Amino acid sequence: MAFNSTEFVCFFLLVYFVYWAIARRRTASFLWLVLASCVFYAGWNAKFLLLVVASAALDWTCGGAIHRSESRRARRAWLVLSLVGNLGLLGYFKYFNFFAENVARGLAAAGFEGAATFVPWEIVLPAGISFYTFQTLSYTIDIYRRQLAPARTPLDFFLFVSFFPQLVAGPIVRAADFLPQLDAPARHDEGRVARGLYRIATGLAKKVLLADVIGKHLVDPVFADPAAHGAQGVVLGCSGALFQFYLDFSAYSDVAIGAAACLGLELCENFERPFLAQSISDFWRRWHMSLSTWFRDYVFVPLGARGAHRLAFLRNLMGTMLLTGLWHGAGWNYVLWGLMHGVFTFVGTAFGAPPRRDELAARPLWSRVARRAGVFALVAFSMLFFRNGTLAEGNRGIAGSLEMLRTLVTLSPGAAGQPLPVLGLVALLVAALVHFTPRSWPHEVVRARWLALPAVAQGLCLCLFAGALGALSYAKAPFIYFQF
Amino acid sequence: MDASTSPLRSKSSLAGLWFLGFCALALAVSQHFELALCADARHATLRELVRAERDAEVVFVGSSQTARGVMPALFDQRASELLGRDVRSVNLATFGNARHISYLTLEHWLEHHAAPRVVYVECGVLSDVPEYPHKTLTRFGQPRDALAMAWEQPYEFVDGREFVRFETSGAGFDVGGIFRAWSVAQLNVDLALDVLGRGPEDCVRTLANFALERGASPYWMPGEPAMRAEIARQVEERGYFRIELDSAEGIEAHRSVEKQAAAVSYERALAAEWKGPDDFADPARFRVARLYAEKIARLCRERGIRLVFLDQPNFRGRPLRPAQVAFYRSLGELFRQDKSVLYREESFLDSGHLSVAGAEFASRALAEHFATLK
Repeated sequence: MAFNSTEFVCFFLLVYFVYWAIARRRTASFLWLVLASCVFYAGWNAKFLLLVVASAALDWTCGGAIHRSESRRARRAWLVLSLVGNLGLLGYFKYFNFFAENVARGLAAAGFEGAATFVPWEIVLPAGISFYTFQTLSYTIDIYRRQLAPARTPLDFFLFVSFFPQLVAGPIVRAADFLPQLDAPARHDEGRVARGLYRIATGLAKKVLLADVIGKHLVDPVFADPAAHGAQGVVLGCSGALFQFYLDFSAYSDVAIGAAACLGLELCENFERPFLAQSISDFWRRWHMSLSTWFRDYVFVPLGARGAHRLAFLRNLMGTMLLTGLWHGAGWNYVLWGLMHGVFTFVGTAFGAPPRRDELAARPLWSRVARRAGVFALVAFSMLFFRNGTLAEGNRGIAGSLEMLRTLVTLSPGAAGQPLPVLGLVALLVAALVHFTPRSWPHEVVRARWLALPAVAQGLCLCLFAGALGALSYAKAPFIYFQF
Repeated sequence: MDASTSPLRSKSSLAGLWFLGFCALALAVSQHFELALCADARHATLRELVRAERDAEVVFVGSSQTARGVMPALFDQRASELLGRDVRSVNLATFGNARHISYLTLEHWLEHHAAPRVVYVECGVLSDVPEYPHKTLTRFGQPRDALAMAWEQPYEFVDGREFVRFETSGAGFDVGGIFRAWSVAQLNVDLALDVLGRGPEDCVRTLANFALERGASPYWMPGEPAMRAEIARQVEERGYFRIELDSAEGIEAHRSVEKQAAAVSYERALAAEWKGPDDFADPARFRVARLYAEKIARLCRERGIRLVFLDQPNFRGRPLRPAQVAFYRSLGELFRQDKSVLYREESFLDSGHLSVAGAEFASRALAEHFATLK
């Protein structure tokens, strides 16, 4: 069930009213949210609901056993079971064909003729598996580290795993942030609900008015035929792709956070104006924050973080970024994308700790602008590999990335008579203006005006807004991050 | 939670209820004025046709099969020769549309013109497929259709890329068919909700169209056609545009004809009869095709118009189901094109559409049929 559909609007209104009608009864209201989450997920594929249940059951069992066990050995055994179970499922559904194909290719190159005939297995990727697997893993690891007490009931835990706003594409919520909210009595906070509604509306507007327009009118044509668009087209296409991914994914996060707020729950933020970053490490503190902090806390730090010497830092950083790339998808494009970011980060921070926010803010304007432009250019350049790995039409994986790279390096002028993607460029310009405008405007001014409107005017505005979005989004393009 | 936090008393909840109320109002307005009709670019062309000053004795409605397969000028010429008087026809068929569009188009034509003597309505394998209206159905469905859709669940397929990605192929793990049943129910409920949720979209779109057209039209005007120069050249030269078999587009399109010709011989195709379930009368299937055929029949009956259903063949494809033939004959006459001529490769541009040569033959054959009508 996509957020940008009539189906979701009806579904959400029903969930909202019933939930608040029974919110006094803790068990009944949680059961209602779990049921709603199951219906929401079954909209993608009902079969894989069983996988969510299995994954949750495994981690509920392991988490409880780790908490109860006194011996370090037993605790470790339960943790290993959780890791093997979760990563095993993820590995099978997401990575089996990738690794098997590459092994077969390697064996074939080494002279094993039978390996050349390997046919990829027909494996369907369950929606949201990368997100809920990481969410449940953090639960057992935190209990193992004695940083978290287990959920009070299986119902609480299953609600944490399956809560529909964040189930399919995040943010990747930590149990330590979510479970305590379930213990507090449900309270209908009018201010929070109003802000939630506003957040949902802005998320949908970002998706339909900006992300989809940039994708359709600027990015798709360039990635489908880079040679025809020339070097300047590739530059615009990569910049557009970076904005498109940001707008699309942050829009999803906005709707998820807004929907949760309407139900009285808080989800963590996922983006913080990433193109204001003045270094790559700063960029990763602002981009897909629930994932980057997950990798920081559960991979980079356990590996030794910056380590005692630069080589150890390089090893730990590249390992973490490689896994970050692979998390997005099983393909060499994502591997290369992750490694590129590893190299960018290493070069930027190897010779000293990354500067703090206040240090960056104190730099002269020209320095901040130049740094931001540099970071944007590097990340946009990496989209050349990332975007060619997605399921978007016209993508040709590594071959497509290399063709774009060749077009860029040779400064190819492209084919004559290519029409200027006016609509895509206008949307890109608007997106950039909104992104770089001080936060007090338009976000806070518009939000304050929205909150001041009477209910009937809010209802009319929402109706007109829904009509405008519907008229502009006939194709109902799916959110990009569903595929990860 | 105290009394002041009751969901129905909070401002946001009231805003949600007002939102639902405004959506219902917009749906009622949209249904009353048939605003959904102005949502598709092709209706801008139709608008010009239905507003043309001259009446017509013969009207054709249907999909691209008829749009490409019937040439009014040729029809008029042949019919005039045979009857010894002037005959004027108009082809209102549009690309990519099913029968519900035909009905609405005909209704608009009748609002602006005298009733024609005969209306030809396309039927056939391509125009009656049960899953076809998914994309456009929600624009033309009525609230009662939405309820029927949710209850009867007539549609079984989804064409979205996202669905294909997440759906397993083959039988797979499906205890008692429960997962498939869920998917089908979800699809139909989704379509039904789309029908009910279209009100605000149609109202906003109509207002935008009026604004863009400076109050002249509720129709969304189409953009510049890709083959504008070629279209202009052909129209200048011979009065109409068609893709020629020897053009690059024609050669590409004709590959499907060659493939089908290799798969089904001419003799076998001519002798073919319907194989498979004769399920056209099944109330849970082909509902839209039958519903709008009945509405067209009613419209024609009220205006004293002779109704002829036109079986436009696809290249060596499957014939009509017996129940289809019986259904159309119960509403009007059924004219079937001569497949012994049209099943030749040069008669088709692609497996679904006639070439210029095929359309010339089909148009003359229609004129000859028209001349026999009393």
